[in-house]
Amino acid sequence: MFQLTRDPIVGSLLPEDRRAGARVVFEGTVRDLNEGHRVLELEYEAFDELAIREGAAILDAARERFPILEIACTHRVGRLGPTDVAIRVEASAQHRREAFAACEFVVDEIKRRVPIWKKEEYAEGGSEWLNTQGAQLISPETYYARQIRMPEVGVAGQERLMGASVLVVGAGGLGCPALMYLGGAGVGRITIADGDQIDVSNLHRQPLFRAADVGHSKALVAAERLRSLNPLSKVRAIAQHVVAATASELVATHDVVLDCTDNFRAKFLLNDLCVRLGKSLVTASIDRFDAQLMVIDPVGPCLRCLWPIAPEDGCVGSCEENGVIGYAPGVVGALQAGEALKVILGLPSLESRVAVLDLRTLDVRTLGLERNPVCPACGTPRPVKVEADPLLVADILADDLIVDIREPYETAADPLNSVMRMPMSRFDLADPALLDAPRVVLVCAKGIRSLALARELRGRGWSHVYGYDGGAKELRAARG
Amino acid sequence: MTISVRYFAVLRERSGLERELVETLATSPEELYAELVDRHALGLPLHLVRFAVDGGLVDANVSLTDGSEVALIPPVAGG
Repeated sequence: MFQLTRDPIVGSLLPEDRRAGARVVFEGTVRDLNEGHRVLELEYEAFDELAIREGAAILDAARERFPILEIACTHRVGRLGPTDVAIRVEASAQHRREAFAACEFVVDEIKRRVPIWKKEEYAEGGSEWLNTQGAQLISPETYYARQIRMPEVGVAGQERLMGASVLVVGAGGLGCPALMYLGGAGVGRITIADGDQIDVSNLHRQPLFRAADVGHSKALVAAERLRSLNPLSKVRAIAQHVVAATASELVATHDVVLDCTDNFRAKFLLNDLCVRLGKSLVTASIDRFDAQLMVIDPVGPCLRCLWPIAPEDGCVGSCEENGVIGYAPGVVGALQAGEALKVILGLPSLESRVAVLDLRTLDVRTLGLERNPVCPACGTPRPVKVEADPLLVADILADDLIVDIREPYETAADPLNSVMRMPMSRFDLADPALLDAPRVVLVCAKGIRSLALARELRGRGWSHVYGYDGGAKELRAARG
Repeated sequence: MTISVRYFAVLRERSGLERELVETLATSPEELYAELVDRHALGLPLHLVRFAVDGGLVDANVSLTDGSEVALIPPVAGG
């Protein structure tokens, strides 16, 4: 059994076992000198849920590999001083040799694979976070050796990449491959925003995730996988959907934004913010074998030059409805990463053109797009403010009736408190509670269905219906 | 005149055609689309279709010439 503990590790991890002829105990302790620094104290921090899963998998691997009776490990987190026990591993077996081997295997694998960081506080002042997975063993010169050889990159280009920051919105079919190549290329700071959990039906096209990750946050797991792919990159996860209220600050603090989302509302929100805040945007969409890709420079042309009237979500279906084969978003997400890298390196990119790809025939066209001089986003004069959809509200008032329109299979897994439940598939227009409320605010998983239903009800003359600007998760966070 | 029409994404699915040669009196992409939208039940309003002629996206009211290829491009949303 693998455990993390904030308390001192004392006593044995394994019960007495009459079959055992050997019990090997390893204790890793804090030493007061590391690479010439006098260490006063250190702090271990873990990504708990993933650390526990990885730790348990390592113990299982040890049981499979060595003929042992039992094996267990406890790792300390929090603040420790010199001589404190940071990790204890115990293995029991009939004979000593396999107990020693299993114990050493587990310690090595934990250092290599389990996401635990340590911060050392030095006597001479200052401190440093060290990745126990081996960041200190990897040098940028070696990691990036092959791409530095390319004349388009070189040492100067690599330094530009390491100094750049990229926000990736959506860690799905497009986001996963994009993240892998951005991380591998050594973009210095990567932020992943996605409010979804990993579903079994995602795995065929989202290669950052494994079957054991189902149910966990896409952003958190993707960030952890990127850190282990490239410990030199700083990766941050935001396990929330990007909505108007929070997106501005996120976009403002990055150099380049990748739109890997699956809905028009998010795409146009990112377009408008990037144009307003002067950031480059790489946007892509896919429908079965058809894909479109654009690199939007803040001076335009932009997504609103292509579609002056934003399409409503649902008008052309989604991956869920239309189906998708994994490699197709894989190809397009990789192209998005490539365009972002070109923007950072100052190489010619797809600006002012729309790439239209038909992956069935491999017919790839890059079509020139003219800037619309009166474009509501990039035209002149620039609008002062990005307007959210008037049917969306971000603030909940005390007498609002909040109606959760998610389907029963969704609410069962993730219930919201103090809301009325009425699945969209069984929405009852005659329910008196809806008619009596001063304001009805619909909430779903991401804010797409609630906006669509609010629009539909407005069309039927219901002037008091709004969609919540976000999903169930954002509502829960807003209500505290 | 004769126009070569190329359909993409949802328009290809709805028309069941990748490309076709159309004999038409239409002088602009807009007029051409008005003919095709009913013939193939394409189901998208004009503002959700962009037209590409000779490697560039064009306004719906430009003049078409005999033998042109017009690509019909709808929005795509998946990710």
